[in-house]
Amino acid sequence: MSRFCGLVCLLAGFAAPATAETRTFVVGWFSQATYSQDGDCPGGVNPDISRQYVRNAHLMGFTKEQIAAFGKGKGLPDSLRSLMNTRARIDGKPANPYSYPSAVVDPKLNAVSARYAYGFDLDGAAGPKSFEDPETHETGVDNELARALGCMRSFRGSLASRPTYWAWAWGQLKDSQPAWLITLSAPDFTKDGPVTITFDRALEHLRSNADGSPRADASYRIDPDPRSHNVLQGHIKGGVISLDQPGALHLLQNPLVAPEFKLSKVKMRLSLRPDGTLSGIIGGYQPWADLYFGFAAGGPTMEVCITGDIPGLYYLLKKHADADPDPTTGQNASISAAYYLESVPVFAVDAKQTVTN
Amino acid sequence: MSRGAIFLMTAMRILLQLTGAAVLILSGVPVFASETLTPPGITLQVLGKGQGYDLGKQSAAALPRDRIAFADARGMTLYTHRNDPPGKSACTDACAKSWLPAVAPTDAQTGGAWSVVTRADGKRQWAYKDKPLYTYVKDVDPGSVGGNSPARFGARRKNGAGVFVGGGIRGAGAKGGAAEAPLPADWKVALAYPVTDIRMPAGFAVKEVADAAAFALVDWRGRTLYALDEPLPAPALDCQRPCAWQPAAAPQLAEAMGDFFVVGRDDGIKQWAYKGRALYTFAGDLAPGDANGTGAHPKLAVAAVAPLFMPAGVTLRRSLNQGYVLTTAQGMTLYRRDGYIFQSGGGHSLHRGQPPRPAVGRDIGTDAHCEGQCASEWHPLAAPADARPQGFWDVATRPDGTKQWVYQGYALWTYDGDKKPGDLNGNDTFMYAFSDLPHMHGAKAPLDFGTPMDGAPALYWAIAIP
Repeated sequence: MSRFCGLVCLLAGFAAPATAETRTFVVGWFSQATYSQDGDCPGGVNPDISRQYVRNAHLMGFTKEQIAAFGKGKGLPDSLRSLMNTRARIDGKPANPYSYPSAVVDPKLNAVSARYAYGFDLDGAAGPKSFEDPETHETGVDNELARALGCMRSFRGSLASRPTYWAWAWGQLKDSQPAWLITLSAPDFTKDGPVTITFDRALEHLRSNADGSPRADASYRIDPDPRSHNVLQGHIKGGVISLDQPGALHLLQNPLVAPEFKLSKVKMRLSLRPDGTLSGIIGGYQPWADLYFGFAAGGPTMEVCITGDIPGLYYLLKKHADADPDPTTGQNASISAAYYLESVPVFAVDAKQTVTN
Repeated sequence: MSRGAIFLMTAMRILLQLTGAAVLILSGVPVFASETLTPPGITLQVLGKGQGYDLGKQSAAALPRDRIAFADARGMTLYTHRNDPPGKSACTDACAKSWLPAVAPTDAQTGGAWSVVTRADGKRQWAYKDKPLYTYVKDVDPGSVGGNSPARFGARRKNGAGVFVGGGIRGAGAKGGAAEAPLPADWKVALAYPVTDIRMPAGFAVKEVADAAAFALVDWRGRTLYALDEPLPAPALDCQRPCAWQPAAAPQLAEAMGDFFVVGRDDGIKQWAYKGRALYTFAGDLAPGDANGTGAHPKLAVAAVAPLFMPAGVTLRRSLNQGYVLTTAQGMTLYRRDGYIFQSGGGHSLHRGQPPRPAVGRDIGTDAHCEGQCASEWHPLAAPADARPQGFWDVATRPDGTKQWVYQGYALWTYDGDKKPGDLNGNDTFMYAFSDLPHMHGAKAPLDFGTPMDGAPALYWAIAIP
């Protein structure tokens, strides 16, 4: 048991360890860090899918009369929906738009143009596109994911008002996806000083209270799979944990969102709350293909019910990607991003000690 | 603490004691049958939707395995003819053009229920329980019955005869499947499962216990039964109290039936025995199909009435959190290459992931569709040059002429990233397929493995579960 080991070790008469206290937390909410404000989409918030599909039909060359023939009234006419389900064109023939987004006409969806976005200055260079963090007022913030997705209805929200997509995703996954654990080790959490931050995946999914909130003090086994084991060095200052050097984060996730959650050049600020919880922002560069697959694998159901125009999202992600250029094409493979997490204290044990199925 | 809780804790304690190395090697001692259910060259095929063509978002998690047929080495369903007298084929001339005798090789391994009959033309034909076996000329896919391809349950695709069947969303497929043609009169599928020829008291059944690689006896709750490897009257079970092994209790007025007997115990309980072996359940089995008691007691083994074939060099091992997985003899995890299907509700992460779909595995074949580092890290599970399909196992020929073991449609692989027995470090490694990715350049029909996935597809590596 790793939580509050310090007192136990002391009472047991052990020699004072280099790390005096360890606390483990389970992530109980995880989403893109969003800060949607009125007016942050100068071109307007992108339309709902029924209107977007009509626009797409125009872009494909259909006339007003042809589009009118698809039908009117509430909801999506089946004929329009069928057209959209195969709206990619390869050699002039219909094709799946989610597998072949580049064979779909770019709907040129609107993106955010605003002063604020959560995150960090990842590249050390403030530019005209950089944001200011609304909480810390750090400038030069790189968060092109917020720009790319921020004018899509289901991705708009704030830390308190959860965006539809991320709320949906978390609701889908929290009772099935193995939980993520954060373990902090420090000489004294009440003082400023060094801290080791370890991210792992558990073998169990998140345990919840009867009201659906994450349950504190539950026990988890740490998955020994090295792919989800991350050790980062940082420090505590005023109860806020940040990294000494940008690191890398890699956790197995779920293909419903992305099979793997990968961030490079990671920065973070995680706050130890008086109630014993841990919450905050993590930023870094993320492969945008991982995110696109999470949207595209759901196909038209996902597009109509959750995300909005998926090939449109493809073009947004591709356009605003800002790191890891392909040496040949120059196309960036990663996009700067910021995520928000909340976690509650739990117990964790090395999974090798037990075998139960 | 309740008695049940004590039993459960005891069972778990036994598991913990036995799993210092994090895995249990499946001993799988067959108590009632020394031979596997199928000889070399005879395979098992799940019929109908169990082949996995129907990949609707809900049905994918519950593939029915309620009918498993004997099949030939190609996976074609085997039939018997009502008019055949025991040990002889009456299907000749025109009949034999529609119903092809299942030819037995000269070295066919007979024994048990399996024999060979000699036809009038001198050809050797497999027989099961003295009934000659045939394939049907209209069957074109594994899992077919009476010429009805299970492919009709899935996406619009070509069946084994090159005819488009099925419906689906991707592309412009037709909706729905063709009507099912009836099986011609006097012909029956040679079913391996359900097992119907064992007389059993009420409450007992024979079920597929995949974790023990067997069709085995289960009790009225569906819990796996274990048999004591001691002849009756059996000595008291050597089991530390509270004992995790519970006698399969018989009603006080129960009477013998078939091979089932009732045994009086010193504690007054009447206990069922089968073929002279006392039967028990294990408190560590929490759900039907569990076989967690395997290896937990030196004298108790799953009451397997029909052990299933496993190749030499392959075994079942308990993994840390995914139940039993197929492994090499050295304990290294075996994997399958599978096609992803969208799972609303995050079902992909659930215990043991998605169930295997043999039709998808066959579509993927031995080409893992991975290059570079991927190709260098994944290795086919080699089969001997003379290996034959048997039971749920098939043998694929790779492009270089070598053989690869295939289990329930999926070619099997090992992963270099697994460093020690029990590692599952390759599980859930994905490769997406959409047009902007480097490996997709020039591909026009990527990874569309006969599935009705309406979104972007992907391949991934998954643990091979029994």
